[in-house]
Amino acid sequence: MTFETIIGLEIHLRLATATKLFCACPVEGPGGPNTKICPVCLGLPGTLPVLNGRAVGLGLRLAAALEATPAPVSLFARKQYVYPDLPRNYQITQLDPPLATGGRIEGLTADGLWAVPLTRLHLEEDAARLEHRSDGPSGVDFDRAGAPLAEIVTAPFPGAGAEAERCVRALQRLARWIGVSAARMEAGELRCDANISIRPAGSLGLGPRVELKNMNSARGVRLAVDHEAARQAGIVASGETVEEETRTWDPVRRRTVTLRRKEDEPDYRYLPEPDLPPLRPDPASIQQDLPELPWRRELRFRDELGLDPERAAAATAHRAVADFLEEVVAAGAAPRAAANLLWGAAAAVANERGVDLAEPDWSIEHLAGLANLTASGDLPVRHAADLLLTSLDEGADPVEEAGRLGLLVEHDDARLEAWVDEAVAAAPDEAEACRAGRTALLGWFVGRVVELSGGRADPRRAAALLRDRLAPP
Amino acid sequence: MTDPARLSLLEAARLLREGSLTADGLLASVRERIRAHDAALGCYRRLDERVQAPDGPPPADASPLWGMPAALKANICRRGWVTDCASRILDGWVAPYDAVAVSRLDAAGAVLLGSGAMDEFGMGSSTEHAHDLRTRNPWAPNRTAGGSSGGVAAAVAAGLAMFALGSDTGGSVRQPAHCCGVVGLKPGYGRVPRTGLVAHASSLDVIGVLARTVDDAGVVFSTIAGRDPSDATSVDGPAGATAGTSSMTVGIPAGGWDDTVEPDQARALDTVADALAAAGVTLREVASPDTDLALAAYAVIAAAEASADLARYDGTHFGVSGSGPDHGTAARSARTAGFGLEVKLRTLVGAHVLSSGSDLLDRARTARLLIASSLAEAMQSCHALLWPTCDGPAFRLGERLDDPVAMRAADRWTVPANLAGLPALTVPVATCSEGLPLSCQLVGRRGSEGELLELGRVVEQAMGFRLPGEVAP
Repeated sequence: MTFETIIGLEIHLRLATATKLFCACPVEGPGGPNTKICPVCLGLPGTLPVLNGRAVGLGLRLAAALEATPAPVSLFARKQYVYPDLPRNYQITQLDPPLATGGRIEGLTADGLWAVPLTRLHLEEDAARLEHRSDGPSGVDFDRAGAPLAEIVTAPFPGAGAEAERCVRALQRLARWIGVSAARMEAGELRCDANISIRPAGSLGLGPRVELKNMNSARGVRLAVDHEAARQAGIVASGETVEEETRTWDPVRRRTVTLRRKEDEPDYRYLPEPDLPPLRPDPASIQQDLPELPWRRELRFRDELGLDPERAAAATAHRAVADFLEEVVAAGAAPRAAANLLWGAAAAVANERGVDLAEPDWSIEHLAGLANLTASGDLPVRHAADLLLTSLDEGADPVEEAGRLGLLVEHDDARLEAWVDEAVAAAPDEAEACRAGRTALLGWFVGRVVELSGGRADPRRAAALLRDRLAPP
Repeated sequence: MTDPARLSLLEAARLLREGSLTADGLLASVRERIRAHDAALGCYRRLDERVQAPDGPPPADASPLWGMPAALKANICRRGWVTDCASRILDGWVAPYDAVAVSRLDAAGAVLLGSGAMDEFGMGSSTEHAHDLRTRNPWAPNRTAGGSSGGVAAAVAAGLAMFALGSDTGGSVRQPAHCCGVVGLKPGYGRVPRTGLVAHASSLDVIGVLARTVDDAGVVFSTIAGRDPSDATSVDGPAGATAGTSSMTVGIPAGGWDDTVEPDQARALDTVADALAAAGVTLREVASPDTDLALAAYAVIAAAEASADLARYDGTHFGVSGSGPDHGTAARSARTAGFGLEVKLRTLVGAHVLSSGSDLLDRARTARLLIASSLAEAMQSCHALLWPTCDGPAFRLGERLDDPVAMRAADRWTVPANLAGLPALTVPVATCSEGLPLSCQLVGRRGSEGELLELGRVVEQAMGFRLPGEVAP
C-alpha cells in the first residue's frame, strides 16, 4: 500500500520592528540577558499592553504579499498556560478573527508554479528564552518576551519533506524581500512546526495527526517530515494506529521523539483580551505598495533575461542582489554574461572581503563592460577578478585595463600563425608524430601556442590553425 | 473650631488659601485622628511616615488638592510603597512606579498618606477577606465598612483622610461609600487610566473617588480623569458645560422599589425623588433592571477575567515564591499559600468558566449585552437613573462570611453600571433607625460624570445628611 503524506505548517516570523509588540523595549541591541525589559513585558502588577502600530503594518504588508485578506476587525486574546517563559502565564495572541485569512505561498518549479494555500495570519508576542543548564536551575531571559511575531498557518497540503522545505524557503525569501523579517532560522527569526499525517494514496479524509517541533533549519524540516512520514507508514503497515501526539525532532540522531501525549495537551482557556480594543486597521495601511514579488521576478529572469532556472533562483535569493543584476543589465550587459560575472568573479571578490555580493562600491558601468568582454570571448575569464579589484580599488575601467595590460585574447590570424609556426618549429618530433596520427598531441601544441603567446592566444582558433598545419599529408 | 480633618476638602482648601490653616497643620490633624482611631478601625495597611506637607501657602494657581492628605487603596501602585492588594502572595512587593492617577495627584500637590485596607485583590464586599486586617464601620463597631474599598471609605468618613482613591469592579467604591456615609464616584469605564491599578477583572475595573461631599469628589475626578497612552482602553470625556438640573430627566423604577429594598432605604429614596422633583428635575418611570441576571453575568465574567488577571502570581519573578522540584509545583505552592479562600474560589470558578467545552462565558457576555442595551434604552429618555446603592445599611461583621450568595447580593444594584461601563455616583442621604448611613445611587450615560455631580449636589443639599459627630468606640 502506498501512502500520501499530508502536511500542515505553522510558521512564526519575528517582525522587523525596533520595539516589542506591547511595550517600548528594544528588540535588538547589546547587553547581557534581561537588559531589554520593563514592567510591561515582565507582566508586573498594574501594567497594561499597548499595541505597536509598526508591527501591525508589517503584518499587513506580509498579508498583502501573500494575497491574504485582511480582516476589517480582528481581536486579541489571552492564551493561558503555566510555564516559566511566560511572564503573565498567558500569551497575548489572536484567536478569532485573526489579522488576515486565506492567501498562499508560491514558488517556481522547473516548468511551472507551485502554491500552498494558507488559512490564517495573526500577530502574537514571543515568550522569554529559557537557558537549560546541566547543573542547577534554568535561567530565564526576558529580553525576548513580548517580541512581535507573525504566525502563518498553511492549509493541509500533500507532499514530502522537499515540499515542506521549499515552502519554508519561499516564505523566508518573501519575508526578507519585502522587509518584514530577517527570517534567519538559525537566529530563531523564523520557526517552523509541522503537523504530519498519512493516508492511503487516493483516499479522502485525514489520518491521525502528529505535531513536530524543534526543526531549526529548512533542511531539518525536510528531514523531519520525511522521517516522520516513514515512521507513520511503518506503524500503519504493521496494522497499528498512529498515536496523536507532539513529537520533537532530534537533529543529531535524526529521529522524532515523543514530547507530549495528546491527553496532556493543555486547555488554553482563551479569553478575549480586555486590555486591547478591537484592531481596525485604517484602509491606508492596508494598501501596500509592494515590490515585484520574488517568484515573479524569478520567472521574468528566466523568460526575459534568459537565465537558466538555477541561476534565476540564485539571482532572486535576495532583492538587493536581483536589483543589482538588473542594474548591470540596464547598463548594457548581456544578462547571462552579467549573471556569470556576478556569481563568478564578483562573488569571489565579495567573499574575500567578507561582505555580501551587492555591498562593495561597484561601478555598474565597469561591471557591464567587463561582463560583455568576457562573454564575447575577448577576455579570458581568469582575469576578471583582478580587473574587478582594480576597478574597485583604483576606479580603473576594466575594459581599458585589459587592453593596456595586453590581456585581451588575440584573434588576429597572422599573429596566431606566427606562434603556431614557432611552436611547430620548436617541436619537430611531436609534429611528425601528430601528422602520423597521434592527434592527442594537438592539445599539447595548443598549450605551447598559448604559452608562447603569453596567454593571449585564442585556444579555439589556435586549435583550428594547428589542425590544418598538422594534418596528415 | 471644627477639626480641619473633618472639613470638606474644598472648605479646607479655602482656609489654606486664606492662610488661616497651614498644610502642615492639616496634615498634623489628620495624623492625630489616625493615631486616635486607626487601631480600632483598621483603615490603613501601611502609612508613609516620611511624607511631609508642602511649605508655605498654596501657590496662586494651585489645585484645590494642594496639601490635601489622601489615602490610596492598597491595589493602586505608588512608587516605593508596598502595594500588596492585601494578599500574602504580594507580601512586601514594592511598586516600582506610580499609577497614572497617582502621578496626577502628585502633580496637583496632594499629600499621599498610606495604603488602605481592602478585600484581597478586590474580591469581597466587606473588607473582611484579607489575611491580616479587617476594617470596621466607623459608626458602629459591629458592622462592616463595606468592600472592597472599605479601608479608604472608612478613612474618609472618619476624617483619617480628606479624600481617597479606591477601585470599583462590581461596586467596590460605591458600596463602602454607602456603608460609611461618604460620596463614592465610579467614573465611566476608561475615563481614568487603569495604568497602575492592579487588575482584578480588566473589562470591569475602574479607579474611583471617595470624598465627603459631591463637589470634593468632582474636583478629585477632574484631576485624575483623561486618556493616557499607557492605557489603550482609556478615553477622554466630553468637554463643555452641562445643562442645568432643571432641564434633566431622572428615571425611577416603575412599580416602586424592589421587595429586596428595606423600608428605611425605600423611604429615603422616595425623599430623594421628591427633592429632585422640587429642584425642577423631571422624573420618569422606567423599567427596573434585572439585578439577578446582572449578578449572574457579573459573577461569571469577573471570575473568568480574574482567573487570567491573577494567573501571573506564581512567585517566579516577583512576589512571594513557592517551593518545589519544578516550576509547576513551585507555582502551585506559592498560590496555595499566598491566596486566601475567596481568591481561590473565584480563580477556580474562572478557570472552569473558560475551560474548553464551556459556553458559560458566551452566555454571560450575551447577558451583559442585554443589560447594557436595556440601560442604554432607559438612558435615551433620561440623563440618569435613581437606584439604591444597597438594599439596606452596612451588615454585621461576620454575618455573610458563610453565605456567599448573600455576600454577592450586596452588589445587586452596583454591578449593572460596571457591566455597562457607565458612570455612577453614590450620595449619602439619611441615617437609618439603627443609626447607620443610607445613600442613593445615580447612574448616568457615558461621559456624563458632570451631570451626575450636578444631580448629586441637588440631592446633597436637599437631604442635608450629616455624619455622626465622632467615631463610635
